[in-house]
Amino acid sequence: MKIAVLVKQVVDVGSVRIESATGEPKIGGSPVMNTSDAHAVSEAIDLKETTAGEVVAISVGPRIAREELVEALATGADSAIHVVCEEMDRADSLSTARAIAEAVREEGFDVLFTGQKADDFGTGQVGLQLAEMLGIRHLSNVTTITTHADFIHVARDADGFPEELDVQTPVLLILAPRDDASKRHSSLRGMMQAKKKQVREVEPAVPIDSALTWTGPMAQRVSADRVLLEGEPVDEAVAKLAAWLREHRLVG
Amino acid sequence: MAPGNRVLVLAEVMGGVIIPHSHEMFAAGKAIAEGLQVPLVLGLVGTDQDEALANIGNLDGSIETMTAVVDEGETFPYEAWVDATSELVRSVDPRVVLASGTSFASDYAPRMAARLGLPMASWVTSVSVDHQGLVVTRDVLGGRAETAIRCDTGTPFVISLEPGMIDPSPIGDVAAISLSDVFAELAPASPGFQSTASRKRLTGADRIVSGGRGMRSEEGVALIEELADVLDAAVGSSGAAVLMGLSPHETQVGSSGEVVRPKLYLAVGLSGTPQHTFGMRESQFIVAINKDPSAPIFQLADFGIVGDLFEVVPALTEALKKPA
Ligand SMILES: Cc1cc2nc3c(=O)[nH]c(=O)nc-3n(C[C@H](O)[C@H](O)[C@H](O)COP(=O)(O)OP(=O)(O)OC[C@H]3O[C@@H](n4cnc5c(N)ncnc54)[C@H](O)[C@@H]3O)c2cc1C
Ligand SMILES: Nc1ncnc2c1ncn2[C@@H]1O[C@H](COP(=O)(O)O)[C@@H](O)[C@H]1O
Repeated sequence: MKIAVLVKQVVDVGSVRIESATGEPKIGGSPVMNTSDAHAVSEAIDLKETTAGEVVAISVGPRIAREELVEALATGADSAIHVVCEEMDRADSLSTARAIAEAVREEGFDVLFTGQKADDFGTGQVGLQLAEMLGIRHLSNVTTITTHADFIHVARDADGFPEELDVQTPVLLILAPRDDASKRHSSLRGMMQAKKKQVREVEPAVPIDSALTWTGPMAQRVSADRVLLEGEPVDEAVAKLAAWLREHRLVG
Repeated sequence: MAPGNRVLVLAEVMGGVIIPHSHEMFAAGKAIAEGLQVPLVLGLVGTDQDEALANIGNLDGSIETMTAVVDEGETFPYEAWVDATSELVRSVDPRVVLASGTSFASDYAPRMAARLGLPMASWVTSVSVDHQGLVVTRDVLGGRAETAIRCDTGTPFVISLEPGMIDPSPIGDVAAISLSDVFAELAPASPGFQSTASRKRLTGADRIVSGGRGMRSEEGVALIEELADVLDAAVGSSGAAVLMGLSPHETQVGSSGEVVRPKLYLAVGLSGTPQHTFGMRESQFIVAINKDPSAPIFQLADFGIVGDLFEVVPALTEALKKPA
């Protein structure tokens, strides 16, 4: 079985801090693999192990996005395709999906995995749009996958309505959000092996451009001197909060 | 496809009934059509539209209605919706398309946009028209910030709305269902909160302590109430807490609850979804207690503590009981 998994490199949204003077978000940490895509990588490798298949990780993004493909390889993917695009701020979902569609059209994938929503601009569109462009079916909110001789069995849960069904390949599976516990991680051995695996770089087959223009993100509300206490002992943190509440005359 | 000159609303009709969210789409569609000074087309997509049309009765004469019948298959209902909506959009040739933002529609609207080759902005929280045309806003970076999006005038623009963010309008004679009523109806009968009669009212309160899904049980609710008592604050809640039966609907803050502006809003165990922050972001001081450092509520907060509410809240209550 030939399996594709889409991997987007995103900013680490947890590291975003709002500049109090301007309301502009400042990105703190290094870019990371989109959370739901990391789960998709795990799921793709699980599927490969039960079907003796191959997993190809695919990303559209600037040079640095290669890091996430290498991470997927180190977790157990077999090879990767990097559609190199330096100007992701001109990319909308439609152009991203088109670039991916052209890169995978001839590859003959049986199953393609995507996440539901990207952590950064999260449009919830790319997976479905790719399926449409490839002329195949998609299933969203997928929770578990099991394989059979000539079909795969998929459980999904949309808004608390669980459902199970058998689908023929090719099919695109959009994973339901899940918690981190079940996720596979890259290993040291995986990282050594990843060095021998191939990341094929390709140009976008269609120009990545959009009819949409968006302004830089702005916070809705900016606090002049925000205090955020993390990792402090509880009694110290609440003592500070109590003092702050009193200082601002917010206590009854 | 060059853009035509109309605004098309793709209202969803299920078994003859126009779903509540479609009234929000209709309200947004009307505002956009008025702003752009172009006609509005109300598309009724789904099943048993005749019944829906009959119920609409008197619609503003300038609004054209069109129907698209969806012949749903068993396993992949979205396929028929992609077909029906794409055909309708092609035949109307609109400048702006309002697609549904329900989770059901999230399975067909982006495919429709792809089939038509049109750019789409999903889960939009506001729409407005200025001298350059339509501009929509939406949350990004997990709710920490928002961005404004425009579309080139040469291209039709597909948008979907974040449900519950725009006041619904009646469609002809079909009254818009208030979401507040929907929540009141969905809320289980006996919430863990003390009867609201004995508590301070939300509206006009100087201080509000609100609890969300993180309260988990009546034990969590009690912790919130004790904190509210020492602060002499009213008790508020998130939509999730109401639906879990932890709080009565009267305490719900947000787009389908109360919009409040207290001096102090202390948010505990709630994430800060757009529907919730709609109701409290104008508060003078915001404090958040949440175990997830990336919860968007921290972005609004003047003071935040990352921690487990079951530890932090009782400790805070004790600290506030002691004289300074
Ligand atoms: C049409 C429509 C209208 C709506 N209108 C409203 C509305 O008016 N008001 C409203 O509030 N919602 C409304 N909603 C619901 C809204 O979309 C969200 O579902 C809801 O706001 C989420 O509530 P929450 O933040 O409590 O839950 P969640 O988003 O699940 O957040 C729970 C938070 O609690 C934290 N937490 C969990 N356990 C702990 C712990 N032990 N200690 C500390 N923190 C903890 C978690 O980290 C998380 O951030 C509406 C939805 C729709 C579709
Ligand atoms: N630039 C990209 N490269 C690879 N995959 C992507 C990219 N953008 C989006 N995706 C995939 O599409 C999913 C949904 O993203 P989005 O539609 O942007 O919310 C993500 O979880 C990824 O699996």
